[in-house]
Amino acid sequence: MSYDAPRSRQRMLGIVAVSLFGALFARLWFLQVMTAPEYRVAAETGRVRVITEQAPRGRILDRNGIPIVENRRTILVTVDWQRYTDLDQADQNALLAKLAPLLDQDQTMRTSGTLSSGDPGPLVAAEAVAAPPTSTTVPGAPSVPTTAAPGSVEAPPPPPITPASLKKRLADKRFSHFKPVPVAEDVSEQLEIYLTEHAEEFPTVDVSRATVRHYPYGSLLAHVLGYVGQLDDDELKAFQNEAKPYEVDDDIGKTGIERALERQLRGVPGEVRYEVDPRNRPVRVISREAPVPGNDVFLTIDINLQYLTEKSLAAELTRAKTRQDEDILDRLATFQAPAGSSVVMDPRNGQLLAMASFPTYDPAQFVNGISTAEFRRLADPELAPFHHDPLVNRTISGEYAPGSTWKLFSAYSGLATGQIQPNTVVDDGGSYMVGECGEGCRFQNANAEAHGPVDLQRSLTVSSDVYYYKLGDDLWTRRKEVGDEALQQTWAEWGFGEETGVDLTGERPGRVPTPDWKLSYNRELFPDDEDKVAEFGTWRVGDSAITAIGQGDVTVTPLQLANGYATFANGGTRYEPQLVLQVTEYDSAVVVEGFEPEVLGTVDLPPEWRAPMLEGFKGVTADPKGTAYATFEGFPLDRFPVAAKTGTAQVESKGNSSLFAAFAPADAPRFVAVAVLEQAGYGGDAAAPLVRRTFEPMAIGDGTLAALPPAPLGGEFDVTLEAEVNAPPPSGEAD
Amino acid sequence: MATIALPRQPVASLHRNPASVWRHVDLVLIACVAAVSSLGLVMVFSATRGAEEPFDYSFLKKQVMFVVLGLVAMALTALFDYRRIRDHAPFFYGGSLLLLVAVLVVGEKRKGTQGWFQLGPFQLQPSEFAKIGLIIGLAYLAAQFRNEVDGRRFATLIGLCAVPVVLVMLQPDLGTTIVSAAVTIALLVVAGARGRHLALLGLVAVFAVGLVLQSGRLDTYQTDRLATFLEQDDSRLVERTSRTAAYNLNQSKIAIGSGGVWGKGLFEGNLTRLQYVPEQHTDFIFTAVGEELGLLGAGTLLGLFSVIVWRIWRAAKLAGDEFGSLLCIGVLAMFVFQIFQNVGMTMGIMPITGIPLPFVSYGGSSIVTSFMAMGLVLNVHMRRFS
Repeated sequence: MSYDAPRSRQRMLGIVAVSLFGALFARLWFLQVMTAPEYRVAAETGRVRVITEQAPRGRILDRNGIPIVENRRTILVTVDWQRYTDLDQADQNALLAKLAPLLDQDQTMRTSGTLSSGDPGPLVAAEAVAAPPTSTTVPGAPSVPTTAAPGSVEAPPPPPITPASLKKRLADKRFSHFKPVPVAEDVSEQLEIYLTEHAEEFPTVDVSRATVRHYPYGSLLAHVLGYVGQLDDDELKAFQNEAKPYEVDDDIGKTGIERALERQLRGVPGEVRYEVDPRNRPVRVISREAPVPGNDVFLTIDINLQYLTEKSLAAELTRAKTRQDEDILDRLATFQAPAGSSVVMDPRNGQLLAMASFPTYDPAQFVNGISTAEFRRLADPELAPFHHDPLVNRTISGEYAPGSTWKLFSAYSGLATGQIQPNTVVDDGGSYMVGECGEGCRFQNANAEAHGPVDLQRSLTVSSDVYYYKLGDDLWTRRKEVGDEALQQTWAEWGFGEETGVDLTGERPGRVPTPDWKLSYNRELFPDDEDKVAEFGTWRVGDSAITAIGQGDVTVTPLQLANGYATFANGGTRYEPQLVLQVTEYDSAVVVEGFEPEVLGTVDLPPEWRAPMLEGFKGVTADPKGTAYATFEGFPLDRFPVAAKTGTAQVESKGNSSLFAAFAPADAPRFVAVAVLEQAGYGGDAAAPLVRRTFEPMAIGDGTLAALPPAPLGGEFDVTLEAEVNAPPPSGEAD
Repeated sequence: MATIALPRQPVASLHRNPASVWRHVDLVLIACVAAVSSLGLVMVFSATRGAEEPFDYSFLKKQVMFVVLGLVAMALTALFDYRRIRDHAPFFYGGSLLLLVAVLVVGEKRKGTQGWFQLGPFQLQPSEFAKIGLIIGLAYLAAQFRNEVDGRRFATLIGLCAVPVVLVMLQPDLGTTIVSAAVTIALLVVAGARGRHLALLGLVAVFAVGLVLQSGRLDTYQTDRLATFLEQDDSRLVERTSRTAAYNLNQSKIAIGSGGVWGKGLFEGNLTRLQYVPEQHTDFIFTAVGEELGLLGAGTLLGLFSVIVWRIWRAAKLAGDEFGSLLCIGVLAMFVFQIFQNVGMTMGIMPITGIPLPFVSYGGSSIVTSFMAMGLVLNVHMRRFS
C-alpha cells in the first residue's frame, strides 16, 4: 500500500474540518458578541405587542351638571382584514356563511328585545371612573339609533345580516384595513361569550369592547355638541401632540364642542404591553398603563331651556307650514318653513343658554362610523333641497337678512351720527321717495301701511320703514359730513360683519355691505363689463335706504343678532358669546379651566337714547299697535315684560324669513332670545310665537331657568301635538 | 444479526493483556458524546416543555429513550469486530437499499417527504440508517481498490453512492442527499481518487446543480430557502417574513444573537420558551442553545463536537487497516458536514435544509444512527492493534 498520498489527503480532510469549525466559531462570535445588542432589541420587539387602550373622552354637561354626552360601552365583532385576506377564498366564504346567521340572529333578538346589547360595565380602570353610572343612562341602549328628530317615524327594522352584506361591509372604504373592521356593533354579551368560546371556529374574528359616545338626550343640542369620527391625515398632523398622542384612525371631535374642545375632551390613551407567542396570541401582560379619561366640559347651556327651544322651533315650523303665504297671490300655497334656528343667551355675561337649529340630526348615528348612504342623506349637497343640511348649525352658519330687527342698529346709527334725535318725528305716509330718481325709487312700508307721524320710539313699536328709509337717505345725502360709511361704521360697533368668536366651528361673519364691497362684488360678477360694474356696482342712495331697514345685502347670523340685542339689553357691553362654563377633571369637581365673560367692546348708549328705544321695544309686545301685540296677548307682561322687535326679511323667490329678537324682563334683562325661521312668514307670525313659547314657563313661574320643566331623557316630543298645544296666536302684523 | 460474538478474552484479563481491545476504548470520545447528548436532552426539554406549567415532558422522555437505545446500538456496533462487518458489507449496504425502496412503497408521508416507517408510536427514518450503509459500502469497495482508483473504479464508487442517493431523492430528502454526497466525496479523496477525476466530478456537479435550479423541479419552499439564504441581509426580507424560510432564518438569528455571551439562562430564552423558532427541537435546536446558554454554551457545544471530530480523525489515522480508516473517514465526513450544515443554517451561513444536529436534535433515527456511527469509530479504534 502506498500510504503516502492517503496520509496527506487525510490531513487535508482534517484541515477542511478545522476551517469549517473555525467558520462556525467566527459566525457565532459575530452574532453573539458583535451584533448581539441589535438582536436583543429585535428579540424584545418581536415578542412584545403594544396595545393602545383608548381613553374615554370627557363628558359634556349642561350648566347644572346634567350630562348631555356620556360614554357607553359597546361590544364589537371585528374581522382582522389582514389575516382575513390571507385566507383562501373558500375559507373566507365559509367563515362569512357561518358568522352571518349568528350576527343576524343576535340582531333579530336584540331588536325584538329578547336579548339586550346592555352596557357591559365600565371599561377603564375603576379608579379612573369612580362614580357609579348615573341613573340617567338608558338601560339597553338600542343598537339602531332611534332618531329623536321631531316627527320622525319609528326606525325601520335593521336590514338582515347576510354573508353578502358582511362582504360588502368588509370592503367598505370607510374602515381602515389596518385595524380590525367592525362587522357588528352593540352585540349581546351572549354572542360575545359564544364567539370567545368558539374562537377557533371563527378565524380572524374578534370580539372586543369599546367606549363610544352616548347621548342621553338623543339629538338634543346636536349642533352644539357636534359629533366624533375617525381622524383623517390632516387632522392627525394638526392635532398630534405628545401629551395626548393620536394613532391613525383614532376618534376625534369633528364639529361643535367635540371639535372646539378636542384637546380637553380627549383622554390620554393607555398602553398594555403583552408578551405574545409566534401566533401573536398574548401570553402575559408585561406592563399596563391605565388610560386617563378626558376632561369634562360644562356648557353654559341649560338642557331644559334647550329642550323647550328645540320643541318650540319644531312646533312653530310645523305651524308655519299650514299657513297661507299671502305674498303668493295667484295660487294657494303654504309656507315651506323648512328650517330655522333660535338662540337664547344671558345678556349680563354673554352666556349662551340655548342654541337650536332645525333640521337636526342624531349624533349617535356617527358612533362606530356612519355609513356612506346615511351621510349622504345628511350632507350630500345635491340632496340639499330634501335634507336642508341638518348638519349645519344655523345659529352660527346661517346668514340672513335681519329685516326690521335691524332697526335697533340703524336707530343707533342715526343717534350716533346726530342725524336723528329721540324726538325726531317723521311723517309716515306708508311710502318714501328715495333721492331724486322718481317713482321707481318709491319704497313702501310693509303692506304700504301708513303709520302717521312717528318718533324714534314709535318707529320701533310699529316698525316704520319710512322712518329708516329717510334715515338711510339722509345719511347718504350728508355723506360729505358724516362719511361714506357712517352706517356701516356704527353697525360694526355691534359686532356685525365679523365672527363673534364663540367656541364652535363653522361660524360665519355675516355681511355689512359697503360701497367698496358692492363694487368688488360686481367686479367679480361682471369681470369684463365695466359698464355693468358701474351700473350695478355703484353704491346709491337706495342702497343706504334699503340697508337701513335690514334688507338689501346686509346679512347676520342669529347669534350675531342675539349678541347685538344682548349688548343693547345690558346697556352697551358687547360680550363674546360664551358656551363653555368650565372644564373639570373627569367626573370630579376639580376645575382644570374656568371661563370668564370676555368683553369684546362697548357701545355708547346714554339713557336719553336707550330709554325711548327700550320703550319702543316694549311697545312691540305691549302696545296694541305693536307688531307682536297679538302674539303676546295673555302673556304675563306685567310680571315679565318682554322688549322685542319683529322682522320680516324678503328673500328672492322664496317666502319671507320670520325673525324675532327679544329680551326680558325688559327693565333688568336676563334673557335674550332670537328666532329666525326660513320661509315662514311675518316675524310676528312664527318667530314671535316661538320666543313666547320659550319665555312663557319662566314668566309664569319665578322668572328664572329653575321654573322650566325638566327635559325628558331621549329629548323626544310629539311635534304635531306641540304645534297645537299652547300655541300663541300669530300677530298677523306685517313689519 | 445471527450470532453475538463475545470478545475473545474474558473481561477478567483486561488489565493484564496489553492487546485487549477493552484497553483501547476511546474514553475521551465516549465522554464527549455523553456530554453532547446530555446537553441535547436538556435543550430538547427546554425547547418542548412549553411556556408555562404544566410542562410537557413527553419529548424529553422519548429522547431519553432514544439516547438509551442509541447507547445500546453503539455498544452493539462496537462489539462486533469491524472486520466481520467488512465481510458482510454487501449485506449492510444492500439492506439499507432495501429499506429505502420499502419506504417508498409502504412508508409514511410527513411534510411532503415519503421517508418514514410507522412502527407503533414511533417513526423510523431509513434514510438516516442508509448513511451508515453507504459508508460501509463505500469503505468496503474503496479499500479493495487499494488506492488504485482509475476511471472505472471511480465510476463504480460514484455508482455505489448514486443508488441510495437517487432513492433518497425520490422521497425527496434533500438533506440526506447532500450529506451522502459529502461523505462520498470525502471517501473518494482519501481513497486516492485522481485529481482530474475529482475535478471532472466537480464540473459535472456544478452543471447538474445549475440544471436542477433551471429546471424548476425544485419546490417553491426550496427555492425560497435558497433565496432567503442569498438575500438574508436585504432589509425587505424582514417585511416578507410570511415566507416561512425567511421567518425561520430571521427568528433563528435573533434567538442566537440575543443570547449574547452569557445567554439568557436555561429555560429563560423568551423565543425558545414561546416557541418562536419553528422546528427548534429538531433541526433548529442550536438556536435554543445559542439563546439560553449564549456564546459560552454554544461555543462549548461546538468545542465538544470539535473534540469528537478530532478523535474520529485520530481513529482514522491510527486505524489498523484501510477499511477501518475509510470507515472513520466516512463517519467523520458525515459528522463534520452535518454539524457545519446544521449549525451554519441556524446562523445564516448555509441555506436551510432538513439536517439534524447529531446527538442533540430530537429524533430517534438520527440519534441511533449517530450512536451507531460512533460505535463504528470506537470499534476501529479499539481494535487497531488486534
